[in-house]
Amino acid sequence: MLSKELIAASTKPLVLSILTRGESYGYALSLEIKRLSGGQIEWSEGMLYPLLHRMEDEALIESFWQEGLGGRDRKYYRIVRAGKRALQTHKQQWTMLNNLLNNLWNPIPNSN
Amino acid sequence: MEPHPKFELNEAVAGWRNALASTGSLSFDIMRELEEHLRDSISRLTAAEPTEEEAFLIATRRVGSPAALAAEFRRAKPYGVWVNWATAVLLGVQAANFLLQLVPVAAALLQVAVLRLLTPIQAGRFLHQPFSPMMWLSPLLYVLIVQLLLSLCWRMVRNRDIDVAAWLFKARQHPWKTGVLLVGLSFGLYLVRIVTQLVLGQPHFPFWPIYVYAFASSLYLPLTVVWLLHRRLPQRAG
Repeated sequence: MLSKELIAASTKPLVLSILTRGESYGYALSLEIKRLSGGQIEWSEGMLYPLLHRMEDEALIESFWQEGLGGRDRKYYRIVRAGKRALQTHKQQWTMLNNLLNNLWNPIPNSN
Repeated sequence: MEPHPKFELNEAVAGWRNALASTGSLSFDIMRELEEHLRDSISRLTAAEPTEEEAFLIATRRVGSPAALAAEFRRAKPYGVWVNWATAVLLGVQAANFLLQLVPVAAALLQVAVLRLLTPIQAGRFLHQPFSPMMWLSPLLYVLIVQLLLSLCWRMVRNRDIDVAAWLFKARQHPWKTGVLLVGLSFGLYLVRIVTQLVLGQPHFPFWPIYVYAFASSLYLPLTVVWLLHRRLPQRAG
């Protein structure tokens, strides 16, 4: 399982990344991340929903109510242009961090 | 041993929703979203759990206590809830304002109906006695209409016949359409009232500035609602 701090830091780029595949709602997002992470990441509702609402306030995503399967209305979220831009920034930062850690843990033999 | 009361899922969910509402810091929209999450979770769990009651207990435990959820939302959206409540209250006031425009129309129509039943002499007495029934009929109609509206709205919201959250949400997504609709309705009802009063020969307003005031007041509330809906929520730093 990931640490609480790492989950908190990664939720925003993860939500944005899942939403680039198509619109989705809170419950489906939490199931999707559990499936994709092989059960390693479980988002609590008390963390996920306030974050979704904050991201909406920040105009990274937008939401709308729509009838889903089973005839019940669900609140769907979709990524908007500012969200896609924010995701690019997240991608650069996480890639840089990933490369840095990889280099530190698996140093390339010095060619000098 | 007393028989175990039968578990009713909708009642249990309503109780849970009331607990959420009693925290006083969650909007209709958020509560409804959390309820849909809970119901999704219960549907999924009932496939594996023997009873709905157990599925409900597990699902509510997973979602977390209402107090904890409310605290998380307060941290994330310190202003959002108040804007939602203010919008709901203003929309309610606006709805009442629309319908109250019809009170003088109803009172005038009633007076015409009563006068038709009376002989001219009786009608003269009816209209010219010091305390005409019309003097107390209008306030009575106001009270009745407000009372009827309040109980009707409360019942509809409680039974979820109308969906306040979805309405608010749609209104917020289309602030200018909502504004045009509100102003149109407000102005339309105002016109209906004035025209009916003129046609029926009702006593007119004493002097012309009152028309300007009445027209401006019929626009004030819709414009306030539009401003509230159009205004972006304050951004949090960081």
